Amino acid sequence: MSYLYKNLFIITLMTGTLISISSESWLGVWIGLEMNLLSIIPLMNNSKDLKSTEASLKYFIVQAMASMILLMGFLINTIKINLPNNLLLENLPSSIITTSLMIKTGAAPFHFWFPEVMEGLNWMNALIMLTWQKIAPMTIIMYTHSNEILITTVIMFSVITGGLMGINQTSLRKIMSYSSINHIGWMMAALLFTETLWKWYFLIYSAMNMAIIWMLSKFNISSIPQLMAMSKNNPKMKTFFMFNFFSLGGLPPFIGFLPKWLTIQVMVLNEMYLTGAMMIIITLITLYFYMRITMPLITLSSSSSSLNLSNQQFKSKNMMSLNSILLTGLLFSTMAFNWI
Amino acid sequence: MMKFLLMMLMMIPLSLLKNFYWINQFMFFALSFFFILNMSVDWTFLNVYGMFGWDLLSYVLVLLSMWICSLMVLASVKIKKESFYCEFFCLVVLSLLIALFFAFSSLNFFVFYLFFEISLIPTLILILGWGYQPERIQAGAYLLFYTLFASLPMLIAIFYLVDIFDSLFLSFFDYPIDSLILFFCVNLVFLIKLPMYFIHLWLPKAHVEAPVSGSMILAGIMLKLGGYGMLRMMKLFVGVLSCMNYIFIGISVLGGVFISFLCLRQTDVKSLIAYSSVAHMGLVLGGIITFTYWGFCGALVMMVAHGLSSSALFCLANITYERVGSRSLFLNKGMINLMPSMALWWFLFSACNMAAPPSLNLLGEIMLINSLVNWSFLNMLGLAFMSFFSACYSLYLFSCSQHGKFSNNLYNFNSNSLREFLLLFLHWLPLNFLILKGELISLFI
Repeated sequence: MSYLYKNLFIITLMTGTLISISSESWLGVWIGLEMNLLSIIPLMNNSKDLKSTEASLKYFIVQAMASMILLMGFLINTIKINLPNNLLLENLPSSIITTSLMIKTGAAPFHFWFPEVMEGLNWMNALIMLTWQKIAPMTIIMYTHSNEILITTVIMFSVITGGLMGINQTSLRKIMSYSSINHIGWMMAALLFTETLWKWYFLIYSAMNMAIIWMLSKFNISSIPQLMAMSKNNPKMKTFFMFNFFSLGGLPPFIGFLPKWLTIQVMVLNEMYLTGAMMIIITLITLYFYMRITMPLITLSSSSSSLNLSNQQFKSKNMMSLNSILLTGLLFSTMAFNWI
Repeated sequence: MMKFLLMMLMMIPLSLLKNFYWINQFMFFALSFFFILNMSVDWTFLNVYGMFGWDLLSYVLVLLSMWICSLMVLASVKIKKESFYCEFFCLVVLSLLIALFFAFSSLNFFVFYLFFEISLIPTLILILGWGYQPERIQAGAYLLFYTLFASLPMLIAIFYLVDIFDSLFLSFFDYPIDSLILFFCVNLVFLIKLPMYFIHLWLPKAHVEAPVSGSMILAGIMLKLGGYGMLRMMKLFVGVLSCMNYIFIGISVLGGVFISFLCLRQTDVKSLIAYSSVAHMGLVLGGIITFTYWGFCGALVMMVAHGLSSSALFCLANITYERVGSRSLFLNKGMINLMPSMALWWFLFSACNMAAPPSLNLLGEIMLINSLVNWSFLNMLGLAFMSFFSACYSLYLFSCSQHGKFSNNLYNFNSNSLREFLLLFLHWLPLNFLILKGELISLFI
């Protein structure tokens, strides 16, 4: 059984994203997004797993619909301004296009497909879904210069939904997707101001997700009770795992605080006090459910679990070094700014 | 500055070695003694390096945190005996010390905020990791979310302050900003940490569930972070507070009285001590809010005194807890029959807690009462009740735990070790001898 075709589709997936973020006309944007969509479907599919097929189908339908709305938006725009090969946008089509791209990222009022799709994927696909699939739509939202009220509404919706819906979940995939919805809210706030800020946020968010999902996929964990099995045999991994979640929640000594800090600073300098305050307080709810995940790890209790999935002591130098660099990143970057 | 920083950083690998518990202990004490040699005086920032330095206020609190952290290691020998993650414990205490060291000695408000937050995580790990009951999870959540809920608005306020002053260096905050919202954004977290009467609910929970080291650091240092932050930021809010200080002084004095009543009907030793620290810190808050010289200096003295005395009381509570297995005053009776020499320490620290003469608490209380009565004569009523009932609950604690018939449930019992006497003596010595040269640790402005 050869999975060689997956390499091909990874390449086209990346090419699609790159085409859409670097094209000069809306048609190019659309083509890139379609390429990206058509190449992730075979990546998701796994003939032994029906859930992934279902997920890929759902994903396809939603994304195709969003692409159609995007197509409609830029056609309206072309009719209005009569310049087909241009990124200029009228007011109405700009809102339509932004909305369609929000559907593609899974920002909050349009998020309903996102946890459902995530539930069916394996962890590596979930990682692609949480990180790489956000690049193209969000970059293009940055180009549309849509009105601030729309974006602010979506920010608030995303932050609130991401916080509230994650509370009662036990499936880690669902939790990661709701946390991603929350972070999408923050990233929207970042891209409202500067591209660099968004890039930093996205990079750090992706790195944190990579660290967490790497562990989850190595230990084959998909719900909270299974975490006990990991924590029993691997105290070091357990500590790293715990700190990674604190980092994702944006607690200071870890790198996750850095993008939040920068975003809040820029928001305050642009006089968005209320939005910033709301975002930062509602994000505490996500911190609460991260804390629920880490609770069996942080209490240092070593009761045995019936779900004994991984017996072996697990050691990976790569994983350890990635984690240590990530977690201490804030201290090093602060030092780099202040002492050099 | 750097020498202490490097010493603490080099202690990180030391703390991870197996069977190096006592070497760690030694290094903690050595650090405190070295630090004593680097005394800072009055309001000048000495030993400045980068964005860190100490004036007397910072110096005293850093010294207090080093001392309390050393005593924490001394108090938690049970962790070593049971070898329950004892290397990790050393690391957590050390990282807590590093965070507190930076928080107290930073000259930059943002850096202060950063390390203020960082100190939360080791405390959380301490409570959740080495606490006793399952309720510690709730206590940890209370601690984390009470603090974070108020500290995140402070982050926004900080960036607003950057906009106004173009700098966050504490010395540059030189003219008052009369904004009520800004006042609450900056100070709410300090009021929660302190804790002020209405927002103190996290404190008894956290104290009751924490292991002895967690209680010691919470009562000894973490509450002082709030007081320290307020002392530093008060000059921004002269205008706001001149029209609404009566609210805070009312809450702090009346709250102190109510909390003293509450103390009198506690059955849990640790909970009693925790509530008594709410009363004392209420006095500190009142002193700070009056904006008088007496009030500010008295707040510092009271913070140091309270840090040592309540930390010692938590140690005493733990010493009996390790033997009796309960924190209840109904079971902890009659200890004078079983541990006669420990009864002396119970008495001495209860006396300190009620601000009896040779203790630093007395100095602090005199200064704070001066400032509060100077602010309004009406405060005399509240302060009289507060002083009287603080004596009441201290005596209640002493007499209930030491006198009476001891519980028949006690099956076996081991007497006190030298380590425990040393632990208490090292609390008691600074508490009762520093008053002989009180100006050395009080006149920071």
